[in-house]
Amino acid sequence: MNSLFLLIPLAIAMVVLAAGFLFAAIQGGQFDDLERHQHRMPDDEP
Amino acid sequence: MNHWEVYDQLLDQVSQSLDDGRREMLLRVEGLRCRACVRRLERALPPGPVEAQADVASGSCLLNWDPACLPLSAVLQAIDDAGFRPVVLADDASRRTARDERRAALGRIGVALLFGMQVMMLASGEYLGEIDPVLRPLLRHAQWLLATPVVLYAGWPFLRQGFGALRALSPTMDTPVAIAIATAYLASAINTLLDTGAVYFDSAAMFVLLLSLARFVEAHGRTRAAARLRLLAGAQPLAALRREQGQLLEVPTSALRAGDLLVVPPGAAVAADGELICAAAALDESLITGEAVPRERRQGEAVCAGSVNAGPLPLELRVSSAGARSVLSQLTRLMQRAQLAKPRAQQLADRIAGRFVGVVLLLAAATGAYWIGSGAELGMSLQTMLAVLVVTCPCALSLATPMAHAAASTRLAREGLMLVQVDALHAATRVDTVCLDKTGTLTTRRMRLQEVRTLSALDADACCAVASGMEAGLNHPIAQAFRDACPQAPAIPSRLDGVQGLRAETTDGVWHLSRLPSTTTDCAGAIHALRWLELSRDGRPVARFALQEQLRPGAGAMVRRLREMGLEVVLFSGDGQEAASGVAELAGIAGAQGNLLPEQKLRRLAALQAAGHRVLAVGDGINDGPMLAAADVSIGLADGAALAQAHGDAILIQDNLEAIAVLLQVARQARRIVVQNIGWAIAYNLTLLPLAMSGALPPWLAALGMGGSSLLVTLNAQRLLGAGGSGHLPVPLVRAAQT
Repeated sequence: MNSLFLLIPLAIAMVVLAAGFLFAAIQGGQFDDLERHQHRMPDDEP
Repeated sequence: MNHWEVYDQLLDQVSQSLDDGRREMLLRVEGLRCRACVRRLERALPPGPVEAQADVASGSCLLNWDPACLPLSAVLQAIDDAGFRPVVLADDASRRTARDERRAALGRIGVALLFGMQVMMLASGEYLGEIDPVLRPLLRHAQWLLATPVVLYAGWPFLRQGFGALRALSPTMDTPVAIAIATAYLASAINTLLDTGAVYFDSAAMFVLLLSLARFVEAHGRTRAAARLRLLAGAQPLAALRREQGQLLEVPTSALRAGDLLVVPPGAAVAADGELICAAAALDESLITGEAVPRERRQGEAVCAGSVNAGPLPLELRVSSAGARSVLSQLTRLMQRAQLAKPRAQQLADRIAGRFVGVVLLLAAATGAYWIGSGAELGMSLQTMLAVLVVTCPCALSLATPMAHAAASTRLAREGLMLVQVDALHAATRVDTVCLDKTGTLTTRRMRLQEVRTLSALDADACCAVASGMEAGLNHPIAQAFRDACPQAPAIPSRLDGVQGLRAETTDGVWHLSRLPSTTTDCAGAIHALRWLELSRDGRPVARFALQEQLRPGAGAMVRRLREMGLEVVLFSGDGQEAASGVAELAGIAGAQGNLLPEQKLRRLAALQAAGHRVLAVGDGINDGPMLAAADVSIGLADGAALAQAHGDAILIQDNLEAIAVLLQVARQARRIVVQNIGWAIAYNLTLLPLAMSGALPPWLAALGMGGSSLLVTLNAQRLLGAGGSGHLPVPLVRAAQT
């Protein structure tokens, strides 16, 4: 049972890390427009 | 001194001046979530000098105020003080705000999901059985730690809105939710510190997660409805190439004046309305008309701002009107006004929802008091109260109508029909007769010279040249048809002779060009929808011309679909009975009435209405004004530049009449969906309220029910978008907005 004293803080740290990654992805604009890109396939320009 | 004062200097760039000295502007208002918010916002502004129409569905507010009485900065400050954040729309800023809002919402959902999952996992121990007293403080402190970002970050919008509204003594739908979240969180924190009782961190986290998800879907529906609008607003480029003393200079669009010469490179958008100077150009006007095929424009023709140069060469134009007076701006404003208008059905729902919140708060307090009074455990009483607070939120009720209307107008916009009067959607459900005008409505304004029959020695080309020359100075479909057939003919000075004839005197003699009375001509009935003209010299006929009218695209399909829906279609025309019947037969209409003056059309329409029919009138809006005004619902047709003068409850901007049948279908469907939504919302609240009060409903289930209910109403409305309902626009439009 004493392992929980280590594992729970570890879990919390991992959640914080995951949230950090999520925010980096959001701020990078990955989720800004989920619809337009499917229409852009025939476009020549990037 | 406040930081809004900068907008007093930018007044011309952010707002538009109206005839009576007042100004109008569209404002994005953050924090506008429900109908009670709208009332709070409207109440915060002084009613005389400021008129505000706020709209939940698009999160915006149309301001109409008198700058002489009240500076803009004071209006903005008042909105700010009421607990909202006004965002002044200056071209690009609105899109950036929308993007940031979406990012923030996603971040909140992410935090609620990631941290909430951990909280629930740690909380599950206590549900399963007795916890080791050594481990319990650890588990609870960990839950507390993990639940704090969920409540304070992800739940912040609810807390801020809810308690802000409570302070202003006009509780909104967020108020019960905010009270529930705060109570659950604080009670748990105290119990953790004292190491007694139960903790509800998991309930609090669950509320926030489910509510954020429901809000996000709502906001997404809202964004879709506003997508076309934002695209329109952003389509006008911010800078343009102006020709000044032989050289090209890049100038801001705001600096353009009428008379400027502009050069538009291939693929770029036109910055201002103008007149084409170069010989010909292909223009992609899809943004304005929805028509994807580029349109040929010739020298001297009008070009709308926002259309894209689709040809391989740069084009040149002379600016006729720039900025807020351009067709594009007018169109945008028209659409904004339509989105902001409150339909009557919605006003009723608002009033009910507004009262409901007060009742919910009282019921929750009464429930809590009852359970404590009856000697129940404090934790149990608290849980019941939380469940009542959350389960009864009238969110679904107040979303029912606006979501359906937003989806319906998005669908119609895709069909090329712009809804100007929102109440028209309701009125259209009862329409049983459709009244069409002929020229310019059922048929295009363009006629074609089909046949020339010579009656003398003069050959066909010569006759054509004479007729064409006589019509040269006129701007009528017939004159246009001759011009198309014989563009090189020299103009012959002519004057009107009688009602519908032309007379010209040349060295060759006296020419008459007259319409043939359809009853006496021997060629009538040979081919339908032909109009005959006779050219005579010195009283002797020399030639007859047959002009063919062309049906607008979709006319036949529209009539067929209207028939299938059980509607009666009639044609009113100012032209002769023969011509009217011919066109009617082509389109498949049974009842055609010709030889009608505008007043007679109006009288026929009134007679139909007096006989108990509900009439939808379709006309080109310019000549049919009285008829359109008198009908129960009216649709005006507008081609490009004529848009600014178009009238009607709805305006057809795409050249396809089938959209009229779609309007009636969508209207009926929208009514069904609104009834379903309101029925669901009322049934839901009435069923779950007793359950929650009796304590049978745990708070997390209440949150699931409430979120799910809002979601259901929103998704139900999305059905209106129809097949392939992404609500998204074709690619060229997106590219146009980017250039």
